[in-house]
Amino acid sequence: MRRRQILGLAVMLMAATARGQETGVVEGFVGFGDNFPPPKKLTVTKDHVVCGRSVPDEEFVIDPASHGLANAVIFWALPEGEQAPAGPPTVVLAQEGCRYEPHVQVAGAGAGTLQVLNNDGILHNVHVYDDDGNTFFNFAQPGFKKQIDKDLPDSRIINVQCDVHDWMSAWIISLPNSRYAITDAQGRFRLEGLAPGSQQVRIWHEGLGSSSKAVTVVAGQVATLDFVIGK
Amino acid sequence: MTHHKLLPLLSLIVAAGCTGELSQTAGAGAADWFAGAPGATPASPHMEAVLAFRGSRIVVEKSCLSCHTIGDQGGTVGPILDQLFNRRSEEWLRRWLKNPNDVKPGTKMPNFEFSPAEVDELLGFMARLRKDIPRDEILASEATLAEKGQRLFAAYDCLACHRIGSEGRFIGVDLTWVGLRKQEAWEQTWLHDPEAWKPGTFMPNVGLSGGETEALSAYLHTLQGEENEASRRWETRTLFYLGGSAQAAGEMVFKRFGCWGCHGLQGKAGDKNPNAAPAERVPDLWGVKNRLDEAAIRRTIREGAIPGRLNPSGPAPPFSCPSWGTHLAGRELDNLITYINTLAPKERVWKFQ
Ligand code: HEC
Ligand code: HEC
Ligand code: HEC
Ligand SMILES: [Cu+2]
Repeated sequence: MRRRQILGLAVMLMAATARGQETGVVEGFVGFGDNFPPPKKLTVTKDHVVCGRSVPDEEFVIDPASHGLANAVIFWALPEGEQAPAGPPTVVLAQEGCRYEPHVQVAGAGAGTLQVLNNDGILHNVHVYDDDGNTFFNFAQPGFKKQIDKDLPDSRIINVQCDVHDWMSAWIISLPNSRYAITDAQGRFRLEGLAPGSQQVRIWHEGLGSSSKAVTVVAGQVATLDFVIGK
Repeated sequence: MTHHKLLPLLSLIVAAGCTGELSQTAGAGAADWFAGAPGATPASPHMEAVLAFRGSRIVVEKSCLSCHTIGDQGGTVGPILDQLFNRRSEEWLRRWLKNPNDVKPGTKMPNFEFSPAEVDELLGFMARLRKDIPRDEILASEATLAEKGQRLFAAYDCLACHRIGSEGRFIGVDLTWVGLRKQEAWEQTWLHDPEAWKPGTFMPNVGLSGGETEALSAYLHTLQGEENEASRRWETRTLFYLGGSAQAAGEMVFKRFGCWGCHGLQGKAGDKNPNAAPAERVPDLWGVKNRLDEAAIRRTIREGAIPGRLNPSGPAPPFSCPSWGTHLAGRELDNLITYINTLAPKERVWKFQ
């Protein structure tokens, strides 16, 4: 998984350097003020040996020090006519201890396959919902089946759930752009390869929906952009 | 799935009296079948037993029991499967096992991508779980009509999907209060052919005779509340105090009183209600908080409501909202309101500023 993200990152960097000084960088922070939702736990109701007694509710993963929010997806629209460099063709989702890893990821340009790994040795089912909340597919993955490969739905916001363990949930965001960022545990992000001028930077988060902000990009420079969350 | 679950399944097969003679010579073609040759079919009762045995192994390997119960083992997500063959045709089951989502869009049951041979084996196993229903004996007995209905209800294992008191499952509507909310005449229409009333419903047509329908309806009509109300209150209180969620407690109240029986799952699809004004339907509760103020919602739930007639000289609509005021205890109404307020497109608490 990680390796694929790094690969994707390398592709991004290459694209950025290819156009040299023509592009700029946007760095920033996504997080709460003093007021933020407390961490929650979800009760595990079965398969305790593998799943434990509780799992963290990953809707809002907040760093207690910076109040930064993890797992927000940041991206921007490519200029008219520009072709996105293809990212990895396969999106990998692992089931570990009755959680999904990663909880949020992006299917970039060119991604068409969802590969699901089962390292738990128990039955999970991979119930994939499309934008409208309808079932796109729902396949069983019994304990002995370590890997299944299926087509990704042609949707923008894909939710994966397991009906055996109803607390399990993961998100896959499909972008026509393989350049994007996902906020880290401290809520920070860094976008590279933006064309100079005014750019509309967009953000999505499972508990907040989407929003956007304009930022002025200067070639060869780092602009900052913060998203603040409140009630 | 762990191995301790294998044993009860195997003992079920033994109990069905079919493993004992496995070592005897099987019929012609059995060797092919045993070797898994495509198209080969079991040629004798002994081979049927092998088929069933293989089916039971699939149930274990694929962990069906993490959602279903067979015998006294298993989970509560899906129906109890013991009496499956008394309610579903083989043709229906083949369609179901091929891809459940084609039969019931959105179902939690996943597609296991079974091969045709595996489907045969599974059906071979589940057919053996079936117990005969002594319909004639029950109908001819001395008991009252409602008592006969109760025995039929148990024999068909209607609790495979339904709930009464603290027994059963939530795949179908909780029937604890069904006698209070539905008329006997409607029960008969429904039981005779559920699809005729509601096309596409998951409630099976079990092929009841007129006598059986009458007895079952008479029994259902006696279900007008709980003998042991404490069990429900305990259940909703646990969710409220231990689970810390008024919404979950309210949802349990909604399920346990069978509001779903008229307003639809999650209040999303009101049942049809011939000649009821304005639309001949029970109203959806989806988004009701945007239509009615909370006081009006509370009043309807406490006191009930009888819909007007679309055609004043036509018949009375079969369904009206029962008055629940005297039955709801403690915080149950408050929790119910909290739940009903969530029946609307999700409003986000936290927003980008
Ligand atoms: C993730 C939970 C889950 C698993 C695992 C699962 N099922 Fe199901 N199954 C369901 C649910 C739920 C239903 C009822 C349909 C509904 O409510 O959507 C169902 C319905 C059925 C039915 C129809 C029952 C009836 O009375 O109509 C059969 C047969 C069945 N399942 C067989 C199986 C078999 C065989 C396996 C294992 C190979 C299995 N199921 C595994 C959830 C599951
Ligand atoms: C496979 C699951 C299943 C089984 C078995 C089953 N039902 Fe149902 N039943 C349902 C579902 C689902 C509904 C809800 C109908 C709908 O909304 O489509 C329902 C609805 C009903 C209702 C209407 C309840 C109400 O208040 O609206 C009655 C009455 C009923 N069933 C009686 C029975 C009886 C009697 C049996 C046994 C012969 C039985 N059911 C077996 C699934 C089942
Ligand atoms: C027997 C069918 C039936 C059952 C069961 C039932 N209702 Fe109703 N309900 C109705 C009908 C019919 C109406 C419309 C009455 C009218 O037209 O004034 C209604 C109206 C309502 C309304 C007002 C909605 C509106 O838009 O006017 C609410 C709120 C409501 N019901 C809540 C509940 C709750 C909560 C339960 C369970 C505790 C429940 N109902 C159970 C049939 C039912
Ligand atoms: Cu799972």
